[in-house]
Amino acid sequence: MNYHQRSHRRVQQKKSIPMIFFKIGAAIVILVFAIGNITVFAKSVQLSDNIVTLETDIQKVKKENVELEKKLYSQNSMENLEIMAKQLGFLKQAGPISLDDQHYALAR
Amino acid sequence: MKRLFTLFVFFLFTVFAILIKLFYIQAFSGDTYSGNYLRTTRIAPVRGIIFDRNKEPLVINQSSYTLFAEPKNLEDSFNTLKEIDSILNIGEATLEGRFDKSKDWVALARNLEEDQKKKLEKLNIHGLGFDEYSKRYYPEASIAAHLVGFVGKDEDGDDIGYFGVEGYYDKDLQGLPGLLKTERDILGRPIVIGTQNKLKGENGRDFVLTIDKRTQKMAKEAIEKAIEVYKAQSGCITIIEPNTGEILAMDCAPDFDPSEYFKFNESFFKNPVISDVFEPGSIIKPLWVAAALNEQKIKSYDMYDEKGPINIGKYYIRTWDNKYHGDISITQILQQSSNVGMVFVGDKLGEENIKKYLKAYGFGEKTNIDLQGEVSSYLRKDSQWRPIDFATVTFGQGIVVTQIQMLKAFSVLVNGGWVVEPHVVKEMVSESGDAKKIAPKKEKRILTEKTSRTIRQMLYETVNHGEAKWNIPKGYKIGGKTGTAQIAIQGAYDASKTNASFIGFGPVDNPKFLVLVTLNQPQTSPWASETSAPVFFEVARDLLVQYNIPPK
Repeated sequence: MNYHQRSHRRVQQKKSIPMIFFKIGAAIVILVFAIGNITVFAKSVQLSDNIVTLETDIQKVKKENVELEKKLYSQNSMENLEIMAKQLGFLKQAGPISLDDQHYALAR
Repeated sequence: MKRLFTLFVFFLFTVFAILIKLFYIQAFSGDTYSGNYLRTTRIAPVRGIIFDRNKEPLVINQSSYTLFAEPKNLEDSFNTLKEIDSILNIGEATLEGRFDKSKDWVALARNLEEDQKKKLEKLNIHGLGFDEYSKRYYPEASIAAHLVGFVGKDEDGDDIGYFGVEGYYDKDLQGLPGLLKTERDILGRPIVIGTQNKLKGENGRDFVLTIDKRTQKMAKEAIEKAIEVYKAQSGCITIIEPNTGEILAMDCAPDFDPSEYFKFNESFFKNPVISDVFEPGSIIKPLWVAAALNEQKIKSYDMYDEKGPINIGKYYIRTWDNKYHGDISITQILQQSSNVGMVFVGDKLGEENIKKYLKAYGFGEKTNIDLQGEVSSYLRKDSQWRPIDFATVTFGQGIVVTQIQMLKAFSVLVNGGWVVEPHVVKEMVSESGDAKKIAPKKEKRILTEKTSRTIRQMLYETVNHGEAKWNIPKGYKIGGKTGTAQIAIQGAYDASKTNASFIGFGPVDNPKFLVLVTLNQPQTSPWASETSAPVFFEVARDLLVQYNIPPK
């Protein structure tokens, strides 16, 4: 092996070292992107599931709200209060203040 | 090398095939494919709630369900219908009648409530399902059916308000639908990085009415009782705040159930207060006396010699009992409800002024009350007036008005002379909470304060010294006037068929309420003094207590 042959091999070694690094780097980048992509995809699927769950929950809460509203107003309605008052005997016991008996009304 | 080439050709062919397919999808059948993942949903607006003046609800929304079956997916239809009937109790025969095996989808029951739905769901029957929809719910039942109206369906099957507030303010109550455009995957889940467009709609506005539900209930009970006691065909009670035109209560009987409006004939939906015209009879007399006082054509202490019937052309005008009392004052004309006395007042007022005041009081045109279905009464043209018409109009014959027109006109007498627009909506509240208040509309002043004060005093005297004795609340000054109008049938008046009405207000010095009671064809007595008037005083007593009006 003469001087020229030896020097040519050294130049080749110098050239191939950065090429390896470049290839490894590229592979890592692709891997990172692939993992990132999979992660984003998985997250988006999870987020979609959450959205669906929340949409269902919102509907459920709205429905419950409507039902509770109906129950509340039915309980507070004059129709219902009248029935309850009759059952409890309030109407018989305490009538409205009589306009013709104002002394009594004032005494109260 | 050959194998590598084969692989290359294979990949090339695959890529080419994919490209062709993509081109086909995008260029020729884009709509078909976009429909699969791009979902557009209509966001239905929630219809506005209707409250009374104290923000207590008269109408709210409620979820309701339609139970449907898919006969082809139902394994044992006989037992299924039996089980459904055990919960709904609508009859097996009815369910079998609705069930049709040849169809893909059949509705078995409508208007189901949440509890019923839950019970049916527990049966866990494959092939049954529910369609949800929103419907109106009335916590106070049909307390104000004519006034509120109802929500029905239009020709496209969409909700639409009919009559009353629901009809008049349908667009505001309905709101605007929104649109949601989202990309969904094959499982129906939203694609987060895809299109998510939302066009926000707006829920219907909530309405706060001028109605007080306690007063409304009291009026409803009073008119229903009156119809029963006096055996009338129908009747109405309307209560208005005369200074603002706010309607406090408006009820007519018979009425309908707005939640089951489809079970009633159309004639029940019409609100007689705004949609029917009638001859007012004597309740119109104070309007002419006030007009004559305002024009200074008469004085309250002027005397009139009531000596007998008045002859106008081929007609004779008589008093209601054909009795004549000689010298009587203007106040006594009202007290005794003298027709001939009113002809005298009309004569003093003059023909031009009669026509002028008819228009000024608002007869012949709509009051613009915010309720659907108002009609305008007919007012004869200037050229069509005959001498007898000028005479009869002074005691309420030969003229037709609506009850709401009468209330609007009478408000002028008791509120200091102002024409105010009657209305039932006090406030509109949008979804964001912005409230738009409806201010009372004072159109114009047509009577002076002095005239108003004088006529109020005269009507107080009329109540206290009138032809009948009523149960007037002690310590209170109440004014009013009876009106008994015979009903014209085929051009002739039938003495046995009358419209008995009473219009009254209180307290006289500072009126807080004006009430019109009308009874159509009462059988126990044709006279308003024996039918409508007692009803008015019952209502007035309740109003004095409800509104804490102290005696003097």
